[in-house]
Amino acid sequence: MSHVASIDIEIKDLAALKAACAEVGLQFKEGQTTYKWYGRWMNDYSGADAAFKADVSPKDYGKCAHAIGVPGNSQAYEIGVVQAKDGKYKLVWDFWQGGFGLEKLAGPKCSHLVQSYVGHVAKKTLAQQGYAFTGTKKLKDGTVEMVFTHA
Amino acid sequence: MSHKIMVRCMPDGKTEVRVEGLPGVSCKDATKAVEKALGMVTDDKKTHEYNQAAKTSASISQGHS
Repeated sequence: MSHVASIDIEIKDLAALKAACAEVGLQFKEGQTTYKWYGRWMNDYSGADAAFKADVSPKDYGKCAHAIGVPGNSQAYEIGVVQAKDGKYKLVWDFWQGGFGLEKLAGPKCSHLVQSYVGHVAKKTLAQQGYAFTGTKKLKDGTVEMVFTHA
Repeated sequence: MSHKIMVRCMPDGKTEVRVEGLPGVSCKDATKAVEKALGMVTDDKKTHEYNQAAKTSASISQGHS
């Protein structure tokens, strides 16, 4: 018997997010309430993942609860960890020109960071149920698959 | 009985949790905690429209002229 659930990932665990930052080489800047971006809304991006479509008002671009940066690179843009009214977090960033080094570590659309976050949450939660992390593999399309085994 | 849980995270953030080798309702019970810890479960993959990047992360991607 198998069961497959599809999940809309929600960033709720800051400890896991910090661990994910460390894993991909980013620096979690706890309590930093501004993040570096172009600095002025040009209203020139309206993709599906545009921040203003995700309940982040352009007037609040640059503001956050915490920030994530690139160690040793003062030119790089930063990711804003923005907290919504329900307490969950969104990652907001400016990837113009790859964020001048940010995208290289965070991944396209923060994929590396989110995948690492998912891994840390899964490991922590399943360990409490007696599951052992037994391996991970990266598929050709960039999907990361983690396997947990219960005796 | 030994069984496995697989957690697959796609580049766009879409994530699947799959369990194999457990009978009956134990199947869903096994993954309940990790599904909840990860986010909001939507069981119907075919009809769910994924705008995953907008849910967890959002791009400003400002152009500079």
